[in-house]
Amino acid sequence: MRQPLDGIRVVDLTMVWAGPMGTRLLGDYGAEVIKVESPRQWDLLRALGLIPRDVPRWYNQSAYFNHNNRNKYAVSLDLAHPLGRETVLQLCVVSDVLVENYRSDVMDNLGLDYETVRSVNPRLIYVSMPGHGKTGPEKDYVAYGSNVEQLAGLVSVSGYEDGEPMKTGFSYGDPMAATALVGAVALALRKRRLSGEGCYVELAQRENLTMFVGEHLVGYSLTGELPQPMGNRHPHCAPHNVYRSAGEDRWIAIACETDEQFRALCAVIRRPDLTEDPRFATPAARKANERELDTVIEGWTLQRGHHEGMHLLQRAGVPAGAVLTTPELVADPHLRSTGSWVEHTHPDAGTWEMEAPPWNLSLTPGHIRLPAPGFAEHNDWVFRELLGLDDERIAALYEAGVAADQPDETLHR
Amino acid sequence: MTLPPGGRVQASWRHNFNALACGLNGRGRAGHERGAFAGGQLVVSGNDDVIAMEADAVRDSRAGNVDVLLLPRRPISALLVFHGPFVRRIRDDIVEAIRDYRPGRMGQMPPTRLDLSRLHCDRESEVPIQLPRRCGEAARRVRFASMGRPLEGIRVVELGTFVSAPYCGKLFAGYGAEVIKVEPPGGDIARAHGPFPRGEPDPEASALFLYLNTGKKSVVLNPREPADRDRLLRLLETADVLIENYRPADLAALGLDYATLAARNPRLVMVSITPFGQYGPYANYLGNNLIAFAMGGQMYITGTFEGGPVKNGGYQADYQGGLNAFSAAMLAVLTAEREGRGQHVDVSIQRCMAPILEASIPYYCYLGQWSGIRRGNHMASFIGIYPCADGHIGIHLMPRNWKPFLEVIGRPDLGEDPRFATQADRVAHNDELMAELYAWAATETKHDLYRRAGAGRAPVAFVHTMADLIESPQLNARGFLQRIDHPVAGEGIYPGPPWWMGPDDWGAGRAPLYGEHTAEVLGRLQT
Repeated sequence: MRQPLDGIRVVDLTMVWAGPMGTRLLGDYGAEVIKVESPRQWDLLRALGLIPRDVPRWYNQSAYFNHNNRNKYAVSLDLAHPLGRETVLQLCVVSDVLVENYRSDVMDNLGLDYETVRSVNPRLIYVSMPGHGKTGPEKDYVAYGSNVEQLAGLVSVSGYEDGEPMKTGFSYGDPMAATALVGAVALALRKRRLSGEGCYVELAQRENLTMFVGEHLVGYSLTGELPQPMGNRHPHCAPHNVYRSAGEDRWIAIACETDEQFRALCAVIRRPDLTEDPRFATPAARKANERELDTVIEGWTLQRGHHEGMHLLQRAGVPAGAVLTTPELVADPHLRSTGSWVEHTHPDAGTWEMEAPPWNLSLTPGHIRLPAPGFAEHNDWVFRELLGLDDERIAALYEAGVAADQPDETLHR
Repeated sequence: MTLPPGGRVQASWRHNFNALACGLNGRGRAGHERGAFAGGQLVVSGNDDVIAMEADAVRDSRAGNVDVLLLPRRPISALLVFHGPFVRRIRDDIVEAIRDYRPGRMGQMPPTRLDLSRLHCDRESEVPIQLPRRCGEAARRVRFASMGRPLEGIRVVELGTFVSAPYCGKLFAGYGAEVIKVEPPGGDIARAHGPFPRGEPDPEASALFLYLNTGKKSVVLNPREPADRDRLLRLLETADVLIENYRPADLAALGLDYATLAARNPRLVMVSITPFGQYGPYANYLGNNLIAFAMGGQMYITGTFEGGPVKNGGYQADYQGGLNAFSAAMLAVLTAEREGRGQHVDVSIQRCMAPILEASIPYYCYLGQWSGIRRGNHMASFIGIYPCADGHIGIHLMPRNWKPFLEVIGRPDLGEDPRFATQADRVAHNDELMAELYAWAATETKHDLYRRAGAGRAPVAFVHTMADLIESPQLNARGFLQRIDHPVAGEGIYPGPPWWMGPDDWGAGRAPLYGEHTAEVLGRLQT
């Protein structure tokens, strides 16, 4: 069976995380993705690999880059030069999708706005992934990863009970925009099939993430009450928290939603008396006395490892989960047995494990068929095969510095 | 102009001018042939010397008055014709095209998206129609024509509760699919969640349910009852997509596993969203948002070291499951429409969450390096959240942002300080810089700082509360917040769309009442 995006060519002008991860997902499910980097403005992730700068082609060995750019081809083109702009427009003529995640005014200033690109290929789907959107009074404000979740309202409802608003542990808006990109492109492809035309798609990262706190927004508009951080608690259910386990900084989450689960929990921790205790006998009573209940439960969890606690509770029918660290995720027997990590070989970087395509589609499961491209690795293929440029033209691109085989290393020393 | 019920406008027109008449609201008829139009639809007249528009005699209770906008112009350019196959030059073609539309076919164009002050009817002077140049700004205002929403014609059955499957279904409904939500007796548990207006629990007024189920139909069926299970199976024979979030063993016990469903409807795309996926040692472990958040690795890195791991606000693991499922499902929909075969889409929330911990997985897998410490609100002094006078602000300073940031905060002296000269210096003197930033932030107010930083191109934002979101000049200017009325809960403010693809492509109606569409949907099955 052909992959879902087989035959779809994507011009990828994105850098860093949200855009590259999104176009990588398109590549995982069959799209032919061509990453365009300028010799002078190449992807920062190549420089964040912790690779010493005296290693030859260090910029091709960044795992951070290589995880987020597999299943792509790479070409070097300086879009700020007229020859580069012209060449990328030629590439748009033979492509289906363009994705960019520059600040809102950059593509317009490069003369690569939607109307221009549409005039050379009306069937092209043009996706912008700005932080704030391409319109509105804040469109040119600078917003990086951690700012997006602040703007989305998420931080205001996150954090410990009665505590300060709390950031997430990573730039959460980026991978959510990346994930949304696949849905947006697929929708646009269906729309193109119906209408015969491409379209413009604008994925504003703060708006995409605001959707994830929609119930708080609707709730506030109906009640006028500002929601507060609740830590690991649930508004109605208890016990619902994270408890210390044996070992250094090891934790287990337990979240009972029914009387039946609570009875099972009491049986496992050998405290059947709790189900009769008026402080804990009903859901409302447990919620009202959850701190006392937590103390009793932690007395049990502290005596065993988080994996052991999880298995004992799950086998009895209690929702419980170990709070996994990164090494534990990579070693996790469940993730391993479902093929979530796969061995991968890259000509400059060697062999190691990386995440498989995330979604298991029974007929079209996605696959890794290409390692991440080295800088400018596919210049020749793009210039000659895809665009049919002649030697003279290609020489002119190199001469003008629009294309190069090596990046300007001084950019990200 | 607004036409009362039965009202008619007949304007004489220069014959060499075309006219665009845009129905903003209500239903009516246009031209000599009285072709029907509805709010959100476009009427184009070619060579004619009269423009006639009339409102239907009976006003549609939902749509209200008929509002039309008339725009005169010299002969319509090819560029405009390019916008849609139904935009024609010749009057007879237009009349035919109007007759051909199915009502609602052209989708919605809310009047709030139009800048009415810039568009007015003046018979004598030419009003140029600004077509999109930069699509971002212009297309929001003026793109008159579209083909209906992108998922028109797709039928989705949602057999899901709480957050993950309903969020996936909400996106399908918003982009134009018919989404039939099958609720068990008693209803989706999100109906009991709240918050509720006036704090009074009411299954029709839970904000969580209202938000996650916009634009869906509600059918009540008990899959444990043989007659209802049979109805559900027949409903699934008519469906393109099934979204469900049962534990795999529970769904199999109901006899609703993929093999059974695919045998009856090979085109069906079945989307399963669970904490651990459909197979593997933990597939039937019990899970919910908190458990998935722990097992997906995001909890361990969130919070402070002393405070212990903490989940993010709301139901973030479930939302991640819902969004991942939507994207995965759309890939399967594309495949099904091309190949004529559905498939089973297995979304494990744990597997979606685990690889996206910034660089943690790449560094550990490739370099063997890992530092899992929880850093609270500060990745470093220059990336983090600080309390200010009236809330909290967040900064995220890359090396090149240091100078613009100091300009914005009026502290160029810090730029001269050798302790903070380079990013490496700032890391080395992290605590001293943090002390400076705490002292500075306490003197700032969030709105004022945010505007100054925006103008000065420094990556500074403030922690938006729900009130800040509703008042946000940015979100309001972009029409991202919609007021949606509900017969029980009243009017609420709803965010959307998650991404914009055209003015008509997203439409979120209200959430359904419990079983509101049972008779309609099941009645259709019997015919």
